[in-house]
Amino acid sequence: MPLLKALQWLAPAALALHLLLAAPLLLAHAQPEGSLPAHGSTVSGSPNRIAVWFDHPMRLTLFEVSGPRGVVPLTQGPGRDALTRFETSPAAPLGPGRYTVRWRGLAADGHVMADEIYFNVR
Amino acid sequence: MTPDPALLQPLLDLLAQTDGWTWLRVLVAAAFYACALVAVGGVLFGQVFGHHPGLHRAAGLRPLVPAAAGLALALLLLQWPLQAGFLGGGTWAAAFDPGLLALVFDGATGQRLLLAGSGLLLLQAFWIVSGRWRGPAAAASLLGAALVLLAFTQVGHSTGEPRALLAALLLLHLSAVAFWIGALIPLYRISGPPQLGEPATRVLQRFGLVAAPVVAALIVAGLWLAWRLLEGWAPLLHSAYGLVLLLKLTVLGLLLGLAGLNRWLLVPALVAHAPRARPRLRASIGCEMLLVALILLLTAFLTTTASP
Repeated sequence: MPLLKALQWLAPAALALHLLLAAPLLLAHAQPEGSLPAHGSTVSGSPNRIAVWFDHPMRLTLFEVSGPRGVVPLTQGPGRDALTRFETSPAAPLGPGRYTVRWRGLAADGHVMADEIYFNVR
Repeated sequence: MTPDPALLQPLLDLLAQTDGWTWLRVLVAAAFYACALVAVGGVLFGQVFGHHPGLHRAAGLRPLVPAAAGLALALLLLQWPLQAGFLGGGTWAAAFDPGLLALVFDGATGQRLLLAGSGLLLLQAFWIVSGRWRGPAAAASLLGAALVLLAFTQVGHSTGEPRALLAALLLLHLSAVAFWIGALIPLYRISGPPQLGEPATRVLQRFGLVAAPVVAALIVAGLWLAWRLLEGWAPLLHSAYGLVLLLKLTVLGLLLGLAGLNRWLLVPALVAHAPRARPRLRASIGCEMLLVALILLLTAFLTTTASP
């Protein structure tokens, strides 16, 4: 039956076109833009603030700082709200050594993002 | 002349950061891609070549498509807690944390899960209920295939701007990939038994003719998509994403070489009843399957870890 045969191709094509055109809100692929302290930098004395920022909103699910004595307690953790900048502070001054900031999050386009940066305290 | 090690540094840095949990996500993603594309491609293969009498059972599509769709559905669902677990630091406790599971489901990933899951269920039900290649069952299976392909455009870089172009390119690329991948197992099966005779030979010949524009579309859409995402070709040598993509293109080159060998040498030898043509063609198709598996693994690594 010609009509049925045509429908076999038209129906999926129409659905495809609809789904492509009825795209949701602009979904952005967030990229890290910078950090505080800067990646690879050396700071004199314990930093008061530790921050990362992104070009598009990111839902952070993990933000961890570790150093010579293990995981560093922070004053604030990520709240899973979509944000372009997250900032926190060490609960106690950091001693000299190398520190690694590890974060993970979900961008608006569904992409899971993760990164590590490090800085030195002298 | 040895390559400059500094060129590989972005990739080496990325590999150093890739933990066991991420490798698990990569493997599950690659397996999902393989099963989903085999299921979708099996439907497309059946639509194009399904009317050849006597080859249905030999090609094995009727058990293959629902089995592949079922396995793909299980792997799709597995990706959900694996993603939640990664977001929580790579632990099984985080994998089943209700808050993280809800976060992953809420948004583009959830949309993909629903679309792909619906498509795979639709594919499975209709192939099990009816093995006919025409009528409402065929229409429904095509719809299921379309939903699965569309699901891939819901997550990742193809959701950026210009969205319609990027999504259309990805859709075209994946449709062509599915057609090629979905044909490999049936072609492998029908190239084996000599008693299938002329009908099988005609399908193998006709596949070569049909595949040529499909592969061309695959390459054009894939390269165009890569160029848009990388914003030029310079990042090919300066980013981890570009280096893995280069490796994928290299393996694709080998695959195209094998496909050309089949099209212009081995299938004509089979038509001419040359001795050992059949086992050689079968071995070549088997090698194609291995290269496809490697390409899917590299693709899964790209989509799971790297970013252009």
